[in-house]
Amino acid sequence: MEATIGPYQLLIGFLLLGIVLGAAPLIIPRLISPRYSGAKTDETYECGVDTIGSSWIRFSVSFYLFALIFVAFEVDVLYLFPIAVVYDQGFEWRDLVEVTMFLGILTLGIFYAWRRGVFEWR
Amino acid sequence: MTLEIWLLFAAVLFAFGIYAVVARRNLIAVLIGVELMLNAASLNFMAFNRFVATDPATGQIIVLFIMGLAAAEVAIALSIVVQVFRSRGGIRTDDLNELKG
Amino acid sequence: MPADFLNFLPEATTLIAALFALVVAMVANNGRATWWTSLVGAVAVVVTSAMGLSSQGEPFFPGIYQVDAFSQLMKIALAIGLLVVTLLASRRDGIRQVARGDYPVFLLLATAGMMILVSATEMLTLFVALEMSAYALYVLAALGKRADRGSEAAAKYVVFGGAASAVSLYGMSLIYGTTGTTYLAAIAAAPAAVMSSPMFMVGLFLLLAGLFFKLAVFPFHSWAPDVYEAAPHESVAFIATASKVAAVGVIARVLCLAVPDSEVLITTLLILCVVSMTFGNLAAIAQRDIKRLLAYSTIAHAGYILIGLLTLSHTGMSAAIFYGVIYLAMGLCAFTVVCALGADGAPVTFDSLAGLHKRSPFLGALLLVGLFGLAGIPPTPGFAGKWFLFAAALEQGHFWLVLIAAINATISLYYYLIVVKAAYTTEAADEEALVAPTAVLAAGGLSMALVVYFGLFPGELWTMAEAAATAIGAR
Repeated sequence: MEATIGPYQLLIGFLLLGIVLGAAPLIIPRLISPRYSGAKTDETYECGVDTIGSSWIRFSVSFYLFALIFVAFEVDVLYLFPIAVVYDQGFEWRDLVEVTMFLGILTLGIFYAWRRGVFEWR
Repeated sequence: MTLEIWLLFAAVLFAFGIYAVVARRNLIAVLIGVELMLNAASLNFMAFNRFVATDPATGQIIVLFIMGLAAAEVAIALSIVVQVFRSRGGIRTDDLNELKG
Repeated sequence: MPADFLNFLPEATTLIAALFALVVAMVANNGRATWWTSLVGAVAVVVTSAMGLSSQGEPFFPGIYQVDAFSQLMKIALAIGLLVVTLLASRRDGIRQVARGDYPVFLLLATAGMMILVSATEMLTLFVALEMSAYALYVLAALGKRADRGSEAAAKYVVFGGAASAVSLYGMSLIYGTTGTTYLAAIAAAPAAVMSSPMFMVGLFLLLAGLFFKLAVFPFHSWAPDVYEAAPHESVAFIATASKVAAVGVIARVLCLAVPDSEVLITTLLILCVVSMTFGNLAAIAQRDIKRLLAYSTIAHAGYILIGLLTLSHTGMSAAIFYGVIYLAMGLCAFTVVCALGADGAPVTFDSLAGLHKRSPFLGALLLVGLFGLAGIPPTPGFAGKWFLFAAALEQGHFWLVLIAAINATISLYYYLIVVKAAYTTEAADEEALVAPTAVLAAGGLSMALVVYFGLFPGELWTMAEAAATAIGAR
């Protein structure tokens, strides 16, 4: 049996390397770190400024609104990829109209969010 | 890599999704389960497109559409979850017992 | 080419009306202005749908989008549903303040999705349309004033709905894998060996499971009572009528793909149908909330409609389409009364019905017509519809099914009559007249006219339903 390195062996090698590199930082400290527990061990930042209050606080709802709008618009850009693929294959008015309609509706969405005061920090 | 491996992988992903929807008690986890199911379907489409119905574009276009729809669905579902959180102070499905359903 | 595009006019009108209403909602920031815009839009949608009733063709790429007798019948029904619910939504006092202006926009968007859904003949188009209508419905269900229960129901709806669509999509991927195409026409033409392969059957079952969720067939029904009870009345009126018609339409189209002699498919549908009818009717008896009662009655009606669908025959499909359309009209009658009684988004119970025939004779009559129709009492179209369904099932030799369905219809008579009794024989504490807004009365008048018309002259609709069944290739 010949020892060739085909694409699958390479892929398995990469996977193994990835697992080892991921696991090593978890295992090595367990082996070499000193076992010591003091008053500061359970703090969020063991060295540094003392934390104030609980870290389980409620974020402002405005963050969620921003995140939702981001998700919606960021993913809609996906539909521009097929246009990028055929971009240099000649010009058609119909294509321009279609892209303009698509972007126009997205823009309408932005204006809607703006009018509803999503971008004002409350 | 054969078709069966991809199908099996997608089926396992789909099963994880179903499990999350049925068994998890946190609305966000349930939503993640729904996303897993959608991704399993996407993977199936790509695998079939590659091995069975060889066509350069069909699978990719379908997956693009599914990604867009999934994002829209998450946006709507999360906004409803935020609303549940604001009115209830929690998003565990156990707490959703006001209605008998 | 322009003539082809004219075939798309009803959908285009709906979409343009939705965008226009959105712009008005943005610019004017005034609920009345948006509502008037969307009312004009809804009237335009009804007019264009009626104009396009006999149009045929493929406005876009071949094989993806079919305009035929079937889709146009469904579209006019959806358009009428949109118009009636828009009229019902004139007050919107059960909707939370911030969303009152935008509410009609979602009605238009949902209708646009459903219209595209009943014309789609390609799986990706079908899925996109399904999701487009579903997302708008999720939002409609979440906009109620009583945030705690409303948002809980909406959360259940969106989570189960999302899971159901994902199951559908997975089924579509398996069908695509076995047949190698996403076009419904090409799938139907696949060889019998492919059609009876286990993977194809699993795919078909998963696809149907997701669609049965929309129709609220028994094991996929659990969202319906909660959403019906807690969502705003107008939204429920729309979910209970228009979305059911669209679901019947898409299921009929998909079932016409299946091989007619598939015993497994027919047996499964038979079981779902019997359980759905029986469960819905028995659970409805115990309800005190009218909308919850109507939810269980919807589950039972999903069972009745399945009788027609599971025969997979031409008469069966025609009967299911016929029943879907008249169910829209009868449901709208019942929900108009609910909307009129539940001012301010208050729940409607048997107590709110007390003395209705004196407080508002018109609404009392409307309730009577709607519920007698749902129960299937002779002069109403509900009787004709059930007659067609049972006849189609007998033709295929499903004698026991018809017997069970007839027993079920008798059980349902009981709880519909309790509701009517509450409205007609109990006396209200105060005999104060119930004043409903003109738009709500117009909605009631329109739906009552439809029910009476279909009840007296079912022949015309039946001819259209038969043409529709022919158009989707029912055998």
